Parts: sequence; structure tokens; C-alpha cells
Amino acid sequence: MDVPTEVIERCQQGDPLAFEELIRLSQRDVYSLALRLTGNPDDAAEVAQETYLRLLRSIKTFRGEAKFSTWLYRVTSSVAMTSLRKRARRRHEVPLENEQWQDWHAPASGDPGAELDRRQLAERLDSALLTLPAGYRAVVVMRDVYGFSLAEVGNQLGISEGAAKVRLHRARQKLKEMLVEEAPAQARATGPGKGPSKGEEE
Amino acid sequence: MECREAAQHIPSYIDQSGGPAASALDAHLRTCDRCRGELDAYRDLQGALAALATQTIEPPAWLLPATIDAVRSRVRLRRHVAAAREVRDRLADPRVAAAGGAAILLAGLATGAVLIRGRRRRRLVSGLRTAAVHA
Ligand SMILES: [Zn+2]
Repeated sequence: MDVPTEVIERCQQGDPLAFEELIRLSQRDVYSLALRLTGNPDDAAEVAQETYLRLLRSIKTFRGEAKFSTWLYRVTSSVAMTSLRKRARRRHEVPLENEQWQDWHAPASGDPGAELDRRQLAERLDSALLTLPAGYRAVVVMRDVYGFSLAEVGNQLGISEGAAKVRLHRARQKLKEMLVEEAPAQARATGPGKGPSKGEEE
Repeated sequence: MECREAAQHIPSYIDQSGGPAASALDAHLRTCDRCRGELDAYRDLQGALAALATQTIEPPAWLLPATIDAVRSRVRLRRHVAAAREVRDRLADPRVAAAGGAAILLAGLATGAVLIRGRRRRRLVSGLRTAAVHA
């Protein structure tokens, strides 16, 4: 995300055209984070839109101690967490802060590939992330993808820093199993060519 | 330290936050290829996750115009609210209230004068009427 300081300052002075420019420059990044957190394109679109409505008010409070992108990601995460909470309530699911790892059943792993380019790896990582429980996915997305501090992650989720850490390690472990381990195993099983991928249950 | 225990510590070890198990794990890693492989796998994962931040996902095409529309109508709404608030605040201002009071008072006096004049005229008319009856 690259939003020039001059655009931010004009937004802070209430220039509506500058604000539209800001949306154009940052929306893709905001949407990507929202999608990674909510795991659902409709919710992500709603979160992205709501983020800018919230920003309209709060951009005046941006002081430039943090990078603008960091600040905007924080607002996005906060809106996304509200959306996830609402969704859990609507579906009578366990609230985000009380999710238990034991309650989650790992889905059958997706299609592995031996040699992946950056784009493919990103896609596979994104789909692996989607299989995690929302409250664990949020932790690893905020911490390992977007570089939030663990304190900030705990804060966003309404859990302690220690609890955030436990979730982070569980999530990393699962992702590693899904992505790194299975790929060579499958490659061995089916050979380097294509072929009906299926096989071993452990 | 055994491999089993080592496996539990590796996901936090990559943060380099030290921790009580770090030195025991260090010692184990020096002697165990398998666990070093594990550590590398986690480091690869970390790298891939960090790189994901720059791998953005294209939003649906309608989102940009919809967001700009939503922002514009929010701006309009805020302007209306601000204008309404200004009117309210102006009325609440004591000086304005005093001026308003004076205006009402003046208006009241004027109305009163008209009424009084009207009543006097009526009295005059009825006086004439009485005079006519008596004539
Ligand atoms: Zn070992």
C-alpha cells in the first residue's frame, strides 16, 4: 500500500477528493486483510466499506507515529473482529475469544504441489488459512502476515497476550503440517507427473 | 530433550524470544537432523506468511464505486447533521436567546398595541352605536 503523505493530509483537512484517492490506493490491501480475517468475500466487502466509513471520522486522529498502512490495518482488523463476532452470534457459534482448538476438526487437506511459484504458494497458504478456526486464523494473519505485536493481537481478539501466543503456535503447527509436510509425501506417492491424487490415510 | 518435546517448542522458538526451553532446544538441534528439518520448515512457513502481506487479492469490481458512494452519502449526511446542530447551538447561545427573547417581546408589544388599539376602536364603535340607539 502506498498512500502519499500529502493525500493523507488533505484527507485530514476534509478534502473529499483526496479521500476517494485514498480509497483507490488502499482498497485492495484493506480488502485482502478483511478477506483473510473473515474468510468470506461478502463479509470482507462489507468490512472494507465499513472501514472507510470509520476512517472518515478517525483519520484526523492519525498522527504519523505509526506507518499509515499499519494504522489502517489496525482499523480494518477491528472492523473485521466486530463482523466475526456478529456472525458468531447470528449462527449461535462459540464467541471468538472462547474458541477451543479441540473443537476444531481439520478438513481433508487440499491439493499439494511440489514446485510452487510465489503466486501459487500464496494461494495455497490462503486456502490453508481458511481451514483454521476464525479465532486462530485471525491470530496468525495479524501476527505472521501483517506483523502486529502479540499484545495488539490479544487486544483485537479480547484475549490475553499469553492466550494469543498459544493460538499462534497451534495455528503455525497446523499450517506447517498442511503445507510443508504433505507436499513431499504426496510427491513421493504419486511421482513427479500428474495422476489421480489420492491415497494414504494415516 | 527428546524429539517429542522439541517439536512442542519449535513453533515458539522461531520468534527468537528465548524462553526457558531455548538452550535445551539448542542443544537438541545440534544433534538432531530431523528436528533441524522441522525448524527449517517453520522458518519457510514464516517467510511465506510474511510474503503474503504483499500478495493482495482483487476485490469485486463493484466494491470501489459502492464504497465511494457510501462515503459520499455519509459526507452529505454529516453535513446535514452539522447544519442542524449549528442551528440548534445558535438557539441555545445565551446572546442569541436574549436577542430572540427581545424580538419576541417586541413582537408581543406590537401585537399588544394592535389589540389595544383594536379594542379602543371597538369601544368607540359600540359607543357610537349606543349613541345612535339613544338618538
Ligand atoms: Zn529431534
